[in-house]
Amino acid sequence: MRPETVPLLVVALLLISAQPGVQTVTTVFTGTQPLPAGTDAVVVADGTVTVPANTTARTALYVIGGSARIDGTLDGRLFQFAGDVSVGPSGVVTGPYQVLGGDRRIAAGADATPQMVAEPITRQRSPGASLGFFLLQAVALAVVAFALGRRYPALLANVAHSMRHHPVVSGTVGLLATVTLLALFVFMAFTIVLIPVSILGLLAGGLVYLYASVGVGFLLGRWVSTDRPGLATAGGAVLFLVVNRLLGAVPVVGGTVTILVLVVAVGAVFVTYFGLREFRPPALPPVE
Amino acid sequence: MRVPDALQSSQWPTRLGTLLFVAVLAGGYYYNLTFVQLGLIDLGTRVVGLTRYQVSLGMGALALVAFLTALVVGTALDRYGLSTDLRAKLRLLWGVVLVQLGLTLVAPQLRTAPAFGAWLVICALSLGTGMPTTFALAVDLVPVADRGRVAAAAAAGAYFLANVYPLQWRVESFAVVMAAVMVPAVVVLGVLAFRDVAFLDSLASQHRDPAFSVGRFCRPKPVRTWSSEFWSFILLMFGVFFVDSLGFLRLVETPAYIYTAWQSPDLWVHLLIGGVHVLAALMAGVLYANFDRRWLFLLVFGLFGFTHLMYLFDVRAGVGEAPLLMPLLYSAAVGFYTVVNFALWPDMSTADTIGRHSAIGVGFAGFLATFLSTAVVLYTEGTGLSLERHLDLVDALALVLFFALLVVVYVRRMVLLARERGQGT
Repeated sequence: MRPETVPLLVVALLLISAQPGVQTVTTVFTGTQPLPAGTDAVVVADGTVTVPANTTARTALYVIGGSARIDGTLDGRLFQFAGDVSVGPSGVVTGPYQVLGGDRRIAAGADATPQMVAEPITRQRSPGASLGFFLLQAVALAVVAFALGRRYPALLANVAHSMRHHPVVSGTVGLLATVTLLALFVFMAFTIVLIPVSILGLLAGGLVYLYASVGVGFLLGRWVSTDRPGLATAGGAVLFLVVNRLLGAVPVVGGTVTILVLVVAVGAVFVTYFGLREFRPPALPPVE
Repeated sequence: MRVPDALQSSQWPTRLGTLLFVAVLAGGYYYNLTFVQLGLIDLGTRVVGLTRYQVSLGMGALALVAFLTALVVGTALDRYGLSTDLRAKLRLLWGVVLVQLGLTLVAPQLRTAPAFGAWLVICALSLGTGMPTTFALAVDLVPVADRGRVAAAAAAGAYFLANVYPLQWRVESFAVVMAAVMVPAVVVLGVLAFRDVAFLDSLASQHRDPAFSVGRFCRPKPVRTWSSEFWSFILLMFGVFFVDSLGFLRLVETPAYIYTAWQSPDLWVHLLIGGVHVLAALMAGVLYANFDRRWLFLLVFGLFGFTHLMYLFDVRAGVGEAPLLMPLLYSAAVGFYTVVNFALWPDMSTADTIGRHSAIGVGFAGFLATFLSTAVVLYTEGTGLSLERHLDLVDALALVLFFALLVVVYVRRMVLLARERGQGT
């Protein structure tokens, strides 16, 4: 499963949980197969599901990635967040077909009418809009970084110390925490009951990521000035954002470097208990 | 002298000694992972013609005999001072590898149940002898400060190779690979054990240096064999091996899971699983050196609990090909605990206790847990327990151990804080 489908998966499961009478949900991650029978809702996260011609599938279908090919009858609602949906000439969707995004190919003669729930953002932003959005991000990050840097410089100093002096330990913990917690929160969402916990977890993860970015900002800002930690942290955080944007232009390497730095930063946040104490690796005690 | 220092100051004997230990440990574990754990099933069922049930019983017996042999050999190593005699240990290992080479060459020729049984007994005796002897090399060859990294290197090498080559789980394939590796190993070990090799002289006395001989958790006081601390870790490791084996023995029999992961025809899947093993081992090496052992056990139980939970979801609601994330997380959990298993017993030992402690540690926790889990799996299969219910039980066990350990760690911390507070007032 691709990481970008995680938020959509949580939203899809949330929507499914709101539907009356839905008892069972099946998720498709890989392969090509007919729409699974005997389930109230099917989520296509990746791979391909098909409704072959002259067959009827009675289920609700949520496409968040991958593709769905309908040549027979889908007796239920179709909700497309992303991915590809193609409806052949003999294809029928009896329920509402709601669209948030993704690509569609509806053949002439098909009985399926997409209803746009929201206008999908398919076009590229103009350079001016992109710059405006980036400036907004920078200002928001700078405000948070300024507040944290001014009020809690000691906490950020511990995080920065761990990043700089213990990058391997921080990176190891960061990688482990990122992968396992992300997988855990996604699988929590599958239980339906734990969807709120899953959403809270993902939000908490976002806050940790923000705090880690501010930690990187503190580290960068300290090289410039230590007299005004608030300003230095804000400047460092914005510099980090700018460097990230520039690195994004370098294929493969740019993204990898950004991820590595963030993983180390997230690990540094955890090993220092959010900066509450300095991380010190254990020393080998003497022999008695 | 730590390995990085040795690299800088060109202290070749220490460097070569550590490499020798990594090679012996990785090679031994590779043999155990492939030929013993996977090859024997093929040998027993396809070549000899026994039922899966009979082969599982035989493998359980192998684990039990190996455990008892390890206890006897490990105790003897310490009692007769052989734990600190590098050449004696190398000679023993040479004998073990020679026997295993013979067993490897003979295995594809076996055709009858009695011959298979005799083969298992000799194999168990050689495994039980080789295991404490290999671990006892640590006090001569591996600086205490480097044991996490060295364990990581051995685990990474063994698991990567085991996942990538050979791809076919057939005893003939395993035998060819093993023989090709063992023949030079016999020659090299023979030269080191029986000839006068200069660099071994300095290594042979390294156990007199506490930096090599006194394990990390034996400082300032050595860990006693009959202490609660030692046995608490034995039980924890037993739990880890038991949970792993109990779950994997059923997964390996389920085509939907085994042919999309460990037996996939796609080489990239093998490379990915092998890569995750390497990454997990390296991460475990870092974590082992920097955090309390209990956190690592918590992590392993948590990972096993979570992974089995994912398998349960897939059994209940999955369609199509099983997600690769499940075997990858499984591999990570296995990689983590293998590193801990490799480093923990030498670190809970001194040069005087390494044979016994590693024999109890690996024998009780590894071999006996495998023996018991095999028995439990055979019993549950006999009762017709479904895969879903079986994984339910494994997951419950992993989660119980996770939360029990969490409570113990927390309560222990509370007691320490209370004591500090009492001393303060």
